[in-house]
Amino acid sequence: MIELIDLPVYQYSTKKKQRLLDKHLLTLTQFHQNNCALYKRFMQAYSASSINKANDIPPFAVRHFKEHHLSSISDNDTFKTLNSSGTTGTPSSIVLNAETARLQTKVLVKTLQHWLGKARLPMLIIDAPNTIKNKNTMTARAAGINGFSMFGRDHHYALDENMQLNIEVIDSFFKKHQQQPLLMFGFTSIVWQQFIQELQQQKRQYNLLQATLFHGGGWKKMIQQTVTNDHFKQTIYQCLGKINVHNYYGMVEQTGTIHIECEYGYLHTPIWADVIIRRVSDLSLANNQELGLVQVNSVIAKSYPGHCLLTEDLGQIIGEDNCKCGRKGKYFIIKGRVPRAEMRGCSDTFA
Amino acid sequence: MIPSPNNIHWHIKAKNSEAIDAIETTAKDKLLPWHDSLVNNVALFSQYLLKHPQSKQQAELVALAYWCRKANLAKIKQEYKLLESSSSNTNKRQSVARVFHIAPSNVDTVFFYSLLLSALSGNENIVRISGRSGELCYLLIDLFKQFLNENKALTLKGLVNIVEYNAINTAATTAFSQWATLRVIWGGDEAIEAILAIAPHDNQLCFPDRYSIAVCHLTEEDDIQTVVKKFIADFSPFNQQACSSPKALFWLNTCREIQSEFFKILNQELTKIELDSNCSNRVERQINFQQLLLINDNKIIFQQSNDYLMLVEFESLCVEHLIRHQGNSLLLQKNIVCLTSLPISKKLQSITYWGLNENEQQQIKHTSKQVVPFGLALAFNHHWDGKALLEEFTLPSYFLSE
Repeated sequence: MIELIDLPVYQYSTKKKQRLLDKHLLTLTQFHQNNCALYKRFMQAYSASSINKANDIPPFAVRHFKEHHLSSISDNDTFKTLNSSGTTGTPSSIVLNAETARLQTKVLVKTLQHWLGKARLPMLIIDAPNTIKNKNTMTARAAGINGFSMFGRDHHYALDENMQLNIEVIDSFFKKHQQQPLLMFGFTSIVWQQFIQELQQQKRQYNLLQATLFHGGGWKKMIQQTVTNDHFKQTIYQCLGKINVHNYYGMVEQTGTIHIECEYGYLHTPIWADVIIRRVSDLSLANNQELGLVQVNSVIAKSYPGHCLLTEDLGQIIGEDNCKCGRKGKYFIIKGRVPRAEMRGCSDTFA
Repeated sequence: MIPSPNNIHWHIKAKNSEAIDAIETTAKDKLLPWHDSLVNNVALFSQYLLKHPQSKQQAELVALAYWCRKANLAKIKQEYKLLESSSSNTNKRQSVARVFHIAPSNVDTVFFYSLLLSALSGNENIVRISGRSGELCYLLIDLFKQFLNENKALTLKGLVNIVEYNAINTAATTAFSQWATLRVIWGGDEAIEAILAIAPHDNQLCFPDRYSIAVCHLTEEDDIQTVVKKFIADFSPFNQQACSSPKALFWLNTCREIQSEFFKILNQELTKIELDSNCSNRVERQINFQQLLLINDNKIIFQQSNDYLMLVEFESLCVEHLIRHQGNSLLLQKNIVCLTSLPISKKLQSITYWGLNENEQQQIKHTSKQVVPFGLALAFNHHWDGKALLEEFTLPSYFLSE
């Protein structure tokens, strides 16, 4: 595994990368079958002889993590349990052993170092300081802040406890670091509503020279407000200067493995992960450019059967190995979550 | 007095004054169960639906109109009269007075049958619909509203209230429940439990979770096209989520070639009808299929899917698969050699059949609440889910305090 961790993040072309993924994902499939009873049940329903490469592994629905305790380790080896934000319904629960937790951190570090370099940067967190204070509920927002904070120093929060702009903090932070590389991080909708729109309203403009903003957490609220990624970025440029803006795609079920948006607006899979688009009607592989259901693969899901997951997001592969940014592998876009079909009919809930 | 809790959207509010006028100035016996004035009102609505351009195109509304046409109401009334005359110490029955119906968020029309039967029984009604109701539900309410507005002297006007509110408005559920002498919950075990937790009621009629299945025996003589069309009438409406829609099809001694032909035609016919499913339903179908895989140690013998249908054959098919099945055009199939291998349980609601002889029909008659030929699974019947609604919506008059 050590050598796998040291691989360059975006240099393998699809073919070479696929061989690597085939090997690791098939091994994980076998491992989880041997160690997680429900996953074994799932896999044994399919004919084993039809599974010879990563693309053949039936993707396991993310939904199962909301409905079952799915673990491939003994309770004694549990290092920690991650829970999804649970803003919509029951939260997922993901069991980590020490090794998986360590790999998650390593993979995240390797991936982000590609974009940020090795030095820790002064960091402005676009959120309120109390977001990470509640130790009992590890929200996706808190997990994101904690994860990204490893890459920063001199951490400051742009918002106060009431999610309002903390102008003194922002002013002094930008003043101090205007010329230097600096890191900003926040949830997409919070960056937009609580930060950028508020700065605009207060007619505040900055000219940051070497800043990078990472944001993620979904476009649901943005789509509701009909904000496109392009409009989002243009507004940020007007407000903060020509900074680097990167959206990322990731989920608690595969913490550490994140797909980052390049300078051309496409998400890139790191060497340890892959994205497959499947047709909603029959889960067959979609062609490039064809919209379908997103499957995420990750070779570091070692303590729970989360190496090949069927999400409820829609996306499309744009191409492979030939993004203008020069990074190899697949590049793709996400078109948002499939709206949850309401369970209607006789076996209804009262809502 | 109809309660008026906060945060309620009143789709239809009973004309209280008119109702009282109607009772005082005409005769209180207009509110006797199955009084001619009520029957005529409902039959008039049937005509209205059959003529209206918006309802004419909706199969479910046409079915409703057909059910409440004058001739059919006369038939049901006869049955009611029989019920009345069979009461031992009195030949009179009375309405139960006030009924609160809680409709499911879909099977958009079923609540309306319940409402009409209750109104015909002379009861005042409050129907609660969910904010998640389908378009058809709102269309039906709209048409009914128009009908009430266009026709002046309807006894029905005093008897129908339709409200919409969020389930978190427990004050409303409590107020309407306290008002009601009978509460009708159109199911879902979860819904029933949630409502019980908000406001218990000592006289209620519940329709809990059910599943339904189809049994088919085909030979070369059968006109498969016809069989398929009838099957679709049971299978497709409401995204296969009505409790009487079959979730599984059992082939009784039918050769594989004929089955293949059936599915070929089924696929062709399904592409022709306008489905009410969308991308979300197809995603749910994939996830639900996986949920079924986690129920027991099993094998997928066969699986084929497209936008219109997912056809699956498991090595073993058990009751739990049918209970966890969530519709969305997922059809489980199984070959059987005798009817005793059907998955019978107390949650089984309907068996629809084709090609069974008298003996075989007899054999399954008492295994479920309803045994009907293909094509009739969703036809509303006043014996619903084993409950005799004519009896439920009325009382022998000696029960009444006066």
